[in-house]
Amino acid sequence: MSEEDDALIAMFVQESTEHLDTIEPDLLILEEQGKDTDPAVVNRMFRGVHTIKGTSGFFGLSNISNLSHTMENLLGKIRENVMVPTAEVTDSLLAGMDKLTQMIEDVPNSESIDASQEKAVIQALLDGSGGGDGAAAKPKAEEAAQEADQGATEAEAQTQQAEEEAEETTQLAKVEPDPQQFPILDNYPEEVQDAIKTGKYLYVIDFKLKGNNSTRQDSFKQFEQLIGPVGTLIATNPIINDELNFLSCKDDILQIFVSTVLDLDLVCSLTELTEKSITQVQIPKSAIKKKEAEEPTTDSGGLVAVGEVYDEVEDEDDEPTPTKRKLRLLNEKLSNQSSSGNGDGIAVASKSAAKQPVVEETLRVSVSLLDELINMAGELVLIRNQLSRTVSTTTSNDPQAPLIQSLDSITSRIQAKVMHARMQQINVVFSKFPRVVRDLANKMDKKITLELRGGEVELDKSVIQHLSDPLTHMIRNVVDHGIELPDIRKAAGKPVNGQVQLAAYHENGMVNIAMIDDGAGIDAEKIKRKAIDKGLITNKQAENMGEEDALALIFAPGFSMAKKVSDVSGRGVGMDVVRTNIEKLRGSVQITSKVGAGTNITLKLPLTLAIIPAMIISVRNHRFAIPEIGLVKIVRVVDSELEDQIQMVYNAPVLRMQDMLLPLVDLADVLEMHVTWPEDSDKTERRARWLHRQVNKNSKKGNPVDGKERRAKRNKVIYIMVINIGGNKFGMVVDNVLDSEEIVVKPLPSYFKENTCFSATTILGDGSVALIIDYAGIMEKANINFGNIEQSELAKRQGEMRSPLHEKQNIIILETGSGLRMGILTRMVRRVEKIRHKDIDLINDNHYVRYTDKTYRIILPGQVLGLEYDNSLEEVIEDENKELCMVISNIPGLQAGLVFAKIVDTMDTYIDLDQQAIQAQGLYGSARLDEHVVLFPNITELFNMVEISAPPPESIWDGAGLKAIVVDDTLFSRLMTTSYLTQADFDVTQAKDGETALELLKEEEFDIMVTDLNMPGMSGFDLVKETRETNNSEIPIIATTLFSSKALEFRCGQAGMVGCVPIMDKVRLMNIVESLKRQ
Amino acid sequence: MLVCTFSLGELYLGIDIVLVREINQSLGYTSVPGAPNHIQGMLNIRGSVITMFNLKQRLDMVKPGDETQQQFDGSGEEDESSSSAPKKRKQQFNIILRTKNEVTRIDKAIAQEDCSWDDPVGLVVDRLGDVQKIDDHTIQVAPANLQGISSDFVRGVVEMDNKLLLILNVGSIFSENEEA
Repeated sequence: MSEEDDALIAMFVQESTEHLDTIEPDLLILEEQGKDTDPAVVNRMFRGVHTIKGTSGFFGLSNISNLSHTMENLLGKIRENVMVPTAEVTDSLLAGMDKLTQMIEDVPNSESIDASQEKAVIQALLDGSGGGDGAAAKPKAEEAAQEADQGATEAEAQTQQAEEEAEETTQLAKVEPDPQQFPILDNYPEEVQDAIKTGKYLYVIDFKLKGNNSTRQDSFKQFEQLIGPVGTLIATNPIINDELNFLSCKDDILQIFVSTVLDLDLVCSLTELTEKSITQVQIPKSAIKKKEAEEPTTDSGGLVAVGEVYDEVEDEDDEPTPTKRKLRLLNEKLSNQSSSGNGDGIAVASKSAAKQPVVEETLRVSVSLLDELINMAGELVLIRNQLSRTVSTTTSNDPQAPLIQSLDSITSRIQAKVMHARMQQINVVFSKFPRVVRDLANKMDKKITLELRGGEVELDKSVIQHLSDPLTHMIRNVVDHGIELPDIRKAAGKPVNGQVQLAAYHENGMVNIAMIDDGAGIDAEKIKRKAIDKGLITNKQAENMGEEDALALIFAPGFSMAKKVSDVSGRGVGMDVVRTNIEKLRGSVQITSKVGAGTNITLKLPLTLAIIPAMIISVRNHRFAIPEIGLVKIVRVVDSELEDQIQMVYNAPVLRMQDMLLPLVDLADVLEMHVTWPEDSDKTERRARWLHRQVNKNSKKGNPVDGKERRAKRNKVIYIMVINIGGNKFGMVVDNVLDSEEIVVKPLPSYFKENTCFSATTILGDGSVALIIDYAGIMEKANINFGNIEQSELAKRQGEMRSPLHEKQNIIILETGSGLRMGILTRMVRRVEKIRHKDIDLINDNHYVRYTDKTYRIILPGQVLGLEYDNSLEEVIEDENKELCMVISNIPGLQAGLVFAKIVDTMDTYIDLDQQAIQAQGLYGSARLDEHVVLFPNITELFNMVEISAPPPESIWDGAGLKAIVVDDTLFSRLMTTSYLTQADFDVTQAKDGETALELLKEEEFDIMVTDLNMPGMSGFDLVKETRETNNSEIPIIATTLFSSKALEFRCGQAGMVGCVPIMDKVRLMNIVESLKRQ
Repeated sequence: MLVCTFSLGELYLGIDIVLVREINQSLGYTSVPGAPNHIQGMLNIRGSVITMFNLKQRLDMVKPGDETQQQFDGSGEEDESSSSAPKKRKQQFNIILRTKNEVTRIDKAIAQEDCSWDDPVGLVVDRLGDVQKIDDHTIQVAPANLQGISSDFVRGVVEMDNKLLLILNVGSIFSENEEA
């Protein structure tokens, strides 16, 4: 057994003990309250037993696994209310639990502990429950119990007998070595002397051989390797030489004589043999005497020591507690490694080592005690600060100064240590997963690579503790259900090795733990169906359920996607545990999944008590802490240079930084800290105040300023904290930067939860409380519109009115046979597949590809667009060895693909679409990316051009005779949205911004408006407001957005819009349109 | 029961001493921008962040027009007279309350009944009074025409030394469904 295993088993023991500790009181509650027991209690027990079952399964501890499995079955029945928890039931469970405890306390011997009786009783109850009547089950159970009892007694008797026999032989060996018996010590004087010298023990191991000669040889070799590092193989009976036929051993038993430092039970655990087959050989007194005679310098004390060691060992064998054994195993290993020649010294050393663990001792301390310590240490720091201030201000050479100094340093150290006591690296939890994944993957014949990142992220101990269960369940689930079997992966064009990534990182003052896999993904529709089957939701609910909500169903109690109950996961405890545990930690779970592409489950955990580096800044004499995470840099701007560095764009101040303009937010303004500011002023006006200061300065510039004043002004500075949030940068103007500190995050009192500007509180060095700024909240409150800045900046820089697609798009860039590059939005693509010549069939002059169990019509986009004349499909696919790429769009029901020569790249980028340069039917336009011209085809139109069209779901969206207006500054998305509506026969008018739209709305009446929210100048929300003033006041408005969120949807609802859909989400958009029509 | 008494302007108030953890005089409040007026700020007491409520504001005893929120003149009388003069910050007292858990450990019933708060909280008051022992049966229902304080915040009244001691309904002061 390796040390890694030991650590894992130790963890298992600890974890299981914790579970058992909670199961016992819960069982008692169950006993007391019977069927009225709170389901949560039953659930808790069920999960506890389930976890034990699962983990023991990994370690191959079948005895524990079996018993817990039986118990789990019974608890499952109780959970499902199939069985009434009668006294017999709880009795049997308690008995089972006791046995489990016993086995877990003694894991190495758990396999030899007899649990058949407990199992039989529970099994009988289970069988009896088929009749549905607890009472009927009773006699049966008893019967079974008796049978089992008898069986057990017999087994016990046998064992006893065997033990007695074994003892006899041992005693025989102990009393006097039988000359006929192997080994005869006198034959190995050197080894025996060596053993005495170094305090080793001598054993005869009965090694059972199985199978044919070569397997026997192998197993013997394995044994040699096992014993090699810890001892010496002295001899065997029969003696092994090259010609030895392993088959010739008497009773198939090879007796092996070894000397080792390990004591008996360690040898057992090392060799995985029972004690019965290992016999310790007592070193005859004569041998010791001989040694004494040979080494007259050694005094008798040494002898006593040796003897004592043996006594010690024997004594300890009587009480083989597993922990002790574990410790000793480690100690022995350590002491063995460090052992040097001196005989007596080692004997004593190993003895003392056995008594006194070298391993760092740990002590369980309650978290509340630690908290108190932390608080008191904080208090100590404050007192220290005050004290050192008074001392330093009185006299410079105070005799107390050195004292204060040492108090100072020791206080700092105390604080640091105490703080640290609560923090643990997330590695504590992560480190067990590679093994878990490996074992599990092996078990399921899958190939999985687990990547761990961010293990050094520190989390509060209590958080860490509660992470183990949910993460284990997540990992098991991903291995079990997420990653496909290698064959399937291969077929899907994925690498055979499934990738699972477990990453921890800080974000917005939370710790995120993301588990990302590239497996099969989760099908929201399947989830819905399953949830309906299980009665978790109704048909109606399912219909109205969004994908996100549907995916979240997997966290519902009693929901399991596993097809059968397995050792590993299943039964629907897994994800249910994940959510309850994470929510207990005041965290949240998010899940996104793409069928065929994988799943991303992100746990967001608050870092209560987590320590984060932060800058302490001040605004209007109020101090705030801002997390350094996300802080890019601090710009110090002297007043006199203000006008050079800060400009006004659309009435908003921006900082010129390198080649970009950074929007600025005055923190005092956002936090509404201007007491004098009129209450009814709105935000733009408030921000304008900052501008006002600006303008004043600019006007002063005209006047001659005398040197004195200028110098005075130069002293006035402001600081701009440049903050990066989700790729968007903005500057936060503060009055002063005071300090950089590691701050302890404390939760925000619930009274301030509604204020989005703050995420938490902390206590500063001087003992005062400070609020921690939440960047996202500030940004939201300041109403920063990122499109705004970029738009104006680009327009200014380029001086031409092209329509920039200022929102980043994820695109796949592909190359056709003739080297033409085309870009397709990733969100339009279901998958990209590699195809070969042999996959392609020519039917009726059209090409088809068989892929999985479907046939896809394929076309060459360049050809269809009329841009590649000389390149027929036949030529492209002629080369038999050439691999081609088939892009399958996610247009529902469309079995057709575009064929390209290869994928060039995928990127997140801003597309500056040019409609003029290259024009063709089926082309949105072109753009320059990485010095190449990339064409952007309209996939739907392409297919239409070759008369491939999806089975027309469009027909249900019939907007004939209705007029729609589409407002979007982004040409690309505007065209997309327009095309969706045009396909549904709407008469669509486009508007490139809010102002234009408003003009149109004033003149004409429309039946529906679809508008982008994020637009320069007039935002979508403003437009909605303005629209209400026009003739079109009743028009239903649908918002489109790049990043849809619940909060945004809510805001849209509040603003009176009928819906908010992600840009280019045709189905959702058209569903809303349809629902409007029905009304 | 034992009642910790204090005064606020002209009112003589008391709260059950079981609910009180400690009383101090610190003034280092950290105000929270955007928070309602009746929240004075936050205070660090041995490492825990206490949300301090300005009782006067909470009981709506501040006359409109008194812009400077938390400072009141020492005499206890309403103080518009001195509004032009720069006001000296008056020493006020913090009554730090026990958390719900702490109260539960002492008396479950009281915790159930009175503790509407989960986070540590405290009250800022003008002057401290004595701890008074009060027979439960002498507590009367607050009269309907109670002056200067909404009856929602009053649990009962006791007559003491010719003064009326109002026992506060602490739960309603900290309850989050604002402006009852």
